[in-house]
Amino acid sequence: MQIALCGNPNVGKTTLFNRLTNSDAPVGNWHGVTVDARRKHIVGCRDVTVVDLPGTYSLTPRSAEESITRDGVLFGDFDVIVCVAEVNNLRRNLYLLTQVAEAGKKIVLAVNMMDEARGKVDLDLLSARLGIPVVGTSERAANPRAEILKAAKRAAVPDLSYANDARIAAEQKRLSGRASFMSSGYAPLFAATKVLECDDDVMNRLGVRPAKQVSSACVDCGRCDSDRDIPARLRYGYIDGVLRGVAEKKRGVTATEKIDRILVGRAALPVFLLVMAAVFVITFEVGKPLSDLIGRLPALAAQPVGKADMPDWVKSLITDGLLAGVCGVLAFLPQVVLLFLLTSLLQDSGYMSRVAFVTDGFFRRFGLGGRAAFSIILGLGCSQVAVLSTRAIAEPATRLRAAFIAPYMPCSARLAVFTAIAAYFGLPSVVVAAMYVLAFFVSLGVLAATRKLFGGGASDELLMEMPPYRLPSARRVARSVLSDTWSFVVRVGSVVLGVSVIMWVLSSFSIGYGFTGGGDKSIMSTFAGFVAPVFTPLGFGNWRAVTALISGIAAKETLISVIAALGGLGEVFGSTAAAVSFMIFSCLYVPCVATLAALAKECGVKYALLSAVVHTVTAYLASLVFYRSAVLYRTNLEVFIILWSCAVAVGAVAVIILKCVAVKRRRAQKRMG
Amino acid sequence: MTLFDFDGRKGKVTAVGGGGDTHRRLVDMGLIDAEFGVRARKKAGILVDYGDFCAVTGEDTARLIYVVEG
Repeated sequence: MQIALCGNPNVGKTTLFNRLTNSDAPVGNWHGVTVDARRKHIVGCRDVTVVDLPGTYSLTPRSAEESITRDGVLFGDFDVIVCVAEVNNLRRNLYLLTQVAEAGKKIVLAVNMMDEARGKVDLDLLSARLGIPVVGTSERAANPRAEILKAAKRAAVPDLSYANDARIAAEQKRLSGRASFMSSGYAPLFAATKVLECDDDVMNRLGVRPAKQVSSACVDCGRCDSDRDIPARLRYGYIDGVLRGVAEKKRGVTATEKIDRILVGRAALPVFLLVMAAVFVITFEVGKPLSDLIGRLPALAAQPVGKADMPDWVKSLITDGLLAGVCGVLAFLPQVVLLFLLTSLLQDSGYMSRVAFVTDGFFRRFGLGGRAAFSIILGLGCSQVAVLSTRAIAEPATRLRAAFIAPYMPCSARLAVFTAIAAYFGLPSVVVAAMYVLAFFVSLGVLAATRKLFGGGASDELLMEMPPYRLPSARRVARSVLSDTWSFVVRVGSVVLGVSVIMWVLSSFSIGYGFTGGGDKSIMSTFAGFVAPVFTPLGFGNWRAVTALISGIAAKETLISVIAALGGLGEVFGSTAAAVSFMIFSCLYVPCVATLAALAKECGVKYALLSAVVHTVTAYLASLVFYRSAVLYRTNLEVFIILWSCAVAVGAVAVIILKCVAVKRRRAQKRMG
Repeated sequence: MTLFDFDGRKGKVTAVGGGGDTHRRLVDMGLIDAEFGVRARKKAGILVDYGDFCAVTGEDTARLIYVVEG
């Protein structure tokens, strides 16, 4: 048996999927978490497969992920569709169920989050009125596997009372004789309601237009009772009848409303900035003691290895290749885990969705909407995930823009690089925080400069549901943190270990001389030495730094492990300024291969390659400006002050001119409008 | 009047405008005949409580939702 889980966004489909199949697919108390279909067997039932479809409000899709759900429900080989609904939102959630029923599919209704119900809910009455099995589920209750399986065997197609409406019957009759309808695969009721609603996909497939066209004068006024709303009014009329007496109405002000008055009221932006500052301070300061402890392990282990009776190259492989490389990255695991924990808590509490609302006004100036804030915050964990999450943005040009700049946010791997350099050179944690601020503003600058490239021009309309606030679930947060941490450790254990060993080999052996234990005669030093002069103006024009940058294209964690394997930070950077310049470059340059692959998949190979080039150019320019300024500051303070004063003055004049032009343009548009 | 012009606290949606895609999304989200309360306003959006759910509506979209007070 094949079962599909469908429902509105954020009703708990993936949580239910995880419980049925014993999986750990990512969940979150915000929209856009599931962006692709997942398929797995139910635990203990190898002949029953469950597919978790992305959330959608309707079978008329508006984004790529909603199309996956529509196609899955209509044309997938599913025996049963389990419609998951939220107990406090039944009226709207059942709207999708009516459309699945119109498509002639056998349905089970799973009413989720029963533990959060505001009042009594009579599921038996609901089941009797719909004519299908209804199962109550919640994360805190027992696993609903057995009940879902039992209900699936009794699944049925609800008997929709509005199916006999004269207008729908007339439309069905009009379509029934057409050859395109016979071959379309649509159920007659579904085709009729979708054509009445002017669903473009269905109308194009059937080669029809609605019998009564909506007048263009009426399209925007909203006052006419146009035919295109007939199916919706019939569905809601049916739903209101089904729900009469089923659920108690809520009374009074809810906790979510009280919290929203503070968090999204006048203090919204200061609260958001405070929360982000707290995340950074906790991540860097609390994780530091444990991080220092792990960082000492290679030195401790090197002593017994050095005394062992082994060939020199084996000792070098263990200490310089394996230990230095892997421990160099694992030393920052405490900070990485803390970051995962804090972002997971924010996501699960429901606050992350409010972030989109709070920041929407700011992002709209750059052609993005508040939804881009999700992707940018996800980028703090992993750039690849951030790029994939942009799939939830409906408007194509906005989606391209968000995907293009998402890799600019420093991921957890780059955090390891920043903290390693800051720790070695005794830099305060504000320098590390400055990398995030720099990356953010550089990404906005790149967006402004490449505005015409993406076309469209209209930013994504923000019509987004806000989930209620919840106390973060310890189980869900722990699962998310463990999953993310395990992925990080696996990458260190596989990619980082592999690259560290390869880099050790290339850096310790020489053609014709064999094992040299490092130095200027190695294979890597010869190759990287050709490229190194390009980076001399940035302060790190040496083969070791270039080798690290090349390995960082595979995985950013290897930047530090390779430097550790090649002699350490002190060997690679001649000064603190050079180290900070390298930090800036590694913050902004080409994303890792996994992210580039995600970009190519979501936006096309052209944009992925363009992204690689733009990232590297902006990294080079930012590092160059910083390092040359630092050198000038050290050698000729007067010239430094004059140059930067002129730059700030020119920048201020440019901003004033642009503002005046924008105000003039708006006034001219108002006069014309 | 539209939701964008509405300066009260509670009201009811009487009609939904917009062409094609936008109209469909507003209808699919259950706005037809929905009773609502305004929770917060920002320059580019309004946080509205529609009883069973809460949603943020941008300025352009708010101008397409026709409401009455009370």
